[in-house]
Amino acid sequence: MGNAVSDETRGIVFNCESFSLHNGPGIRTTLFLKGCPLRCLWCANPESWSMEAEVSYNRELCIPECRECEKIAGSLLSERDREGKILIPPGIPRTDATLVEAAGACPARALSVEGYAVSVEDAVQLLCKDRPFFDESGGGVTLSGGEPLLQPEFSAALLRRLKSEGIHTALDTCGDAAPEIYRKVSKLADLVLFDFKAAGSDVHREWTGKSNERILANLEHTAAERPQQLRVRIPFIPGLNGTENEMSAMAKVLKALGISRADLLPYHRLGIHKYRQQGKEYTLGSVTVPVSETLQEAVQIFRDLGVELCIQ
Amino acid sequence: MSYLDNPIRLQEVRSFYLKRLLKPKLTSERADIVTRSYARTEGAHPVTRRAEALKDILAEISIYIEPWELLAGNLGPEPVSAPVFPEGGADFILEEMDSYGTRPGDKFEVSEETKKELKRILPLWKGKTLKEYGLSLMPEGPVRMREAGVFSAENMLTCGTGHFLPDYTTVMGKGFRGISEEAEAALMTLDLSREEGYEKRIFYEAVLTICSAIRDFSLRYAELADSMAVGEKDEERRTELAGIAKVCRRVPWEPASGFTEAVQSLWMTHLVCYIDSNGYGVTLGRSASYLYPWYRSSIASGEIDRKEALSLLVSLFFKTNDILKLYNNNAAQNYGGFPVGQPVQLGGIDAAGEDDTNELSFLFLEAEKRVKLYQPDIGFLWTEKIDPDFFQAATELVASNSKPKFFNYHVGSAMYRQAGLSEETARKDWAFIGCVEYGVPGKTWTWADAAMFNLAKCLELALNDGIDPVSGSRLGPQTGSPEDFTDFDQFLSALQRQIAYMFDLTVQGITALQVAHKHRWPEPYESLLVDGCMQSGKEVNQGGATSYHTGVQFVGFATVVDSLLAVKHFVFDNRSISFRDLADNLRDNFRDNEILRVRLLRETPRFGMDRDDINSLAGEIFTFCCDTAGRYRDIWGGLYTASLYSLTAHVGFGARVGATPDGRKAFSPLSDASSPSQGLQNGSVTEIFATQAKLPHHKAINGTLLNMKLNKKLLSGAEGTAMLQNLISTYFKLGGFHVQFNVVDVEVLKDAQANPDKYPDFLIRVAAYVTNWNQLSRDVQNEIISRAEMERF
Repeated sequence: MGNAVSDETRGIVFNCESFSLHNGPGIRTTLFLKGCPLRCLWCANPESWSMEAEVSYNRELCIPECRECEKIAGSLLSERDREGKILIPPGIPRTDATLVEAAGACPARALSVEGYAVSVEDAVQLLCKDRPFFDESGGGVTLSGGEPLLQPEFSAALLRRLKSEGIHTALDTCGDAAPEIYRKVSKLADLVLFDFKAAGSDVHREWTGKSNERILANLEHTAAERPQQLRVRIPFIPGLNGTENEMSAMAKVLKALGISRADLLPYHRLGIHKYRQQGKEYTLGSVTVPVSETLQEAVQIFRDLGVELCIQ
Repeated sequence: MSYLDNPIRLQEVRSFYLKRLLKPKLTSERADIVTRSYARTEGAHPVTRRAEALKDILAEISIYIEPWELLAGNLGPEPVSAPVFPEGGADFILEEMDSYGTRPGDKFEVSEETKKELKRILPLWKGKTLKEYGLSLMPEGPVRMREAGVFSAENMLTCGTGHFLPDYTTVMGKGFRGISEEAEAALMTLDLSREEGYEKRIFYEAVLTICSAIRDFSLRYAELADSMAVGEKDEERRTELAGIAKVCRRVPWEPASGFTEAVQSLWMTHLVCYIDSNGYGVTLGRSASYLYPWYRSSIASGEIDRKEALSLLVSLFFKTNDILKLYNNNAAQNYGGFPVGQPVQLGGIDAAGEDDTNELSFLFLEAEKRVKLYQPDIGFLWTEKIDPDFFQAATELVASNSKPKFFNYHVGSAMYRQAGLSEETARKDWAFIGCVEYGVPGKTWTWADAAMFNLAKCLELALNDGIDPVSGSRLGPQTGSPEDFTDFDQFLSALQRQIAYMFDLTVQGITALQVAHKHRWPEPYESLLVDGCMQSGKEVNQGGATSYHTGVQFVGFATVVDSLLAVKHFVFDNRSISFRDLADNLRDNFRDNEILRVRLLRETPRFGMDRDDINSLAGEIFTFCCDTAGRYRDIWGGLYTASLYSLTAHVGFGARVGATPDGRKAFSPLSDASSPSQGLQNGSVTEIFATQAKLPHHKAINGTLLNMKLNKKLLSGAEGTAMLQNLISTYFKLGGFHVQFNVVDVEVLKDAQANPDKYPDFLIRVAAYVTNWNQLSRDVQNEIISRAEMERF
């Protein structure tokens, strides 16, 4: 735990999920790397944005009579709410070193630290544990995030090592990386899960904080060079990209790149509680989860333009 | 077209069963008949009395054939009703019957008229029941331990043995007439100048009584079907009734001549076990294989087609749901949800070592898909050679039915070898009995569920120098106070001494009950269906069978392993708390020290995380339990075997155990079966499988059980089915024995608890069986909800 700096052999991750079923074929283990260049409004993993370790607070778990965090953080965590549970002062950054240390001492795990450093070797050991399940199901390991390409040395080393272990690998990426980095790392994975969020550059900037020129260039590269290893994934966000206009624009982009199928990932709200716990603001509060008819309409729009969507 | 071929009618009948099963009727008819019969036979030999009682019951009970039925034979006077067995126990029914309609789970409707009858009949049994006799034989030690919740043997206290796999093929093959003729021949050769000649004569005469009683019982149905046909307007139904009459005139007295007769013969043989003994777990075994020769010949001769065969199986499956058992209030907590356990085993390999899947195996799954009720339970015996299409069909069923459960033949056959049985027997006959226990059709007489043993209570005694903190009295040997232990191994051996001591007393308790059964509840009918009795002329409880075993279930396994890990971690490795402090906090149920409790909960390494040190400790406790059991023999010389399954006893036993070092609060449920502790995410799905696979399953000859609750969404579509197959195959290739799936959504469970009326047919797998959610007490429901949801988003 803590603020370890990544070097060639260490990466910063925030979660490792085994029995993961929707991040590539078969039964997989997904390693989530911390740090992301985008800030998609619908992001379900707000703990993935920064590369620094940061503190989450699950108020439900706090035990009022407990003073363990206060012993370390002192006045920083001396304020209590009406039920006697701690209040993290809004002005304190969640990456504050004292706060991070105090979180490490919380017995109830009401305070917890998101993000820890791991070496390539330790990661390989962890990720190989489910090998019998991978072998039986045609599964493997997926690197996701955050954005794995923000830690290119670690991701590349890990993909190489997993390949040498004979484990199938997938890279789940938003594609927002310098072309040379993108190409160098993505070619090491057996499968690229490429998140495609919007066709227009302006809306892309509005919804994710960045324009999409280099994303599209990277997508084009893989579509041309390794079409068999590419799987495009489209998040469907009602009211944002989930409109007739944007859907057809996206379908046209894919068609032009010679991509004839993609996965559709319906918007969900399962990450909202994390915003609260991390002291972040969730701005899509009024968006509702799409019903199946709406998704079918999207499928139809794509189909009319020659792209088959698979709803996940 | 048969009645149930119409999908609307099928749903109507399903709804009828589901509604009735929420609150079945308790009936007094059988109690009245058996009471008069026992009065008539007073003074006769117990074997004779049981045979005569069965004869009287079969001659007098009300019979019926419902419009949808293609088979005949019923337990109670109407569908979905339970008879009373006063000869097993009468006092508890008198005391409890007013509460049966309102108790938390396993509700029964008891009409005023029935109550009046029972109040007349039951007092006549005072001092004469199996329960009173059994308890009078039980020494003081086991009596105290049973009362303190160290073990529970309620199952065998008030009823016959059940839990066996009758030799259906013998009855189908030669009929009760064939058996009768053998008994007659044996009677001719007895040496009546010797004592054993008389024992044999009594037995063979009982056999004759029973065989002819079953013949006459069937004839009653033949007459009923004929008379119903007369008034029947629907021509097709008239033909069916005539068919039923014809079949019942022949079987099970005569050998079955075709598939229809074979199914009727099997059903009648099975049903009479329940009419006679009230024991649960009379197992249908590998019926698809037993019935297959008849199926093949009837299909070839054109007597039936595939569709008609399916209709018969559907009728059979509905019928198994008419079999119900009244448990007393105490036992209903440990056996929640009417488990009568009539499992069918599909898959496996045949005598030649080839895949045993046949067309009927697929038809059995089809029937289950249509009936989708509590019974029969269905097991799928996985082997490396299993037909992939059949595996596919079975796994597809899981999402909608939470059945079948899956067994690994390769571990099952190792259990057989461990029990001294041959590889060939394992191949052709392997089938589970009741929940997960082994047994050989027609060969073993099993007390597979002789007792539930409270492993966590032993832990509590080890923490308190043998004193039960709940009552303050001494139960176990003095194995040391917390401050006496200077290292972890000392504490571990204290626990082992408590287990060994308590297990010895449990065996004493079981032995008293086995002796009671031998004296008071012989089972001449069941003896016909078990190898050895007809040959030796000895009733099964007098030792006539060729093979016996007695199983004890160790309950609270993960609670104990996790508690040991907590003690090791906090007290001996980290030394962050003294053992005395820990013990004091447990006694106070963590009052004023919630911080300690959450530390124990969250920082203890737990069973389910796939770590070598944890797996090795779990393996050590597991092996200790198996070895402890393996040192004993039952009154017939059979092996004591251990298992890790708990039905709902982990809730009942949990209510007797104070707080434990794993952070579990006092009196809350213990861990279930061999599964990791509830309430926390103790390892991911794959970790749990990997951990479970590392237990030495073959040593627990009486079976191990792993419950997995999977979100329905996980199993949707072809991808979901493929995932499930991969999960099961991987687990079995790694060495796992059994796994069953509860397909649910936690939100659905909570909603079902809040709005029971919205979920009239919500079936749930409780332990080894499926039952209606609304039949479960709130405690058991909470327990199920608290199990970690396996799907992470």
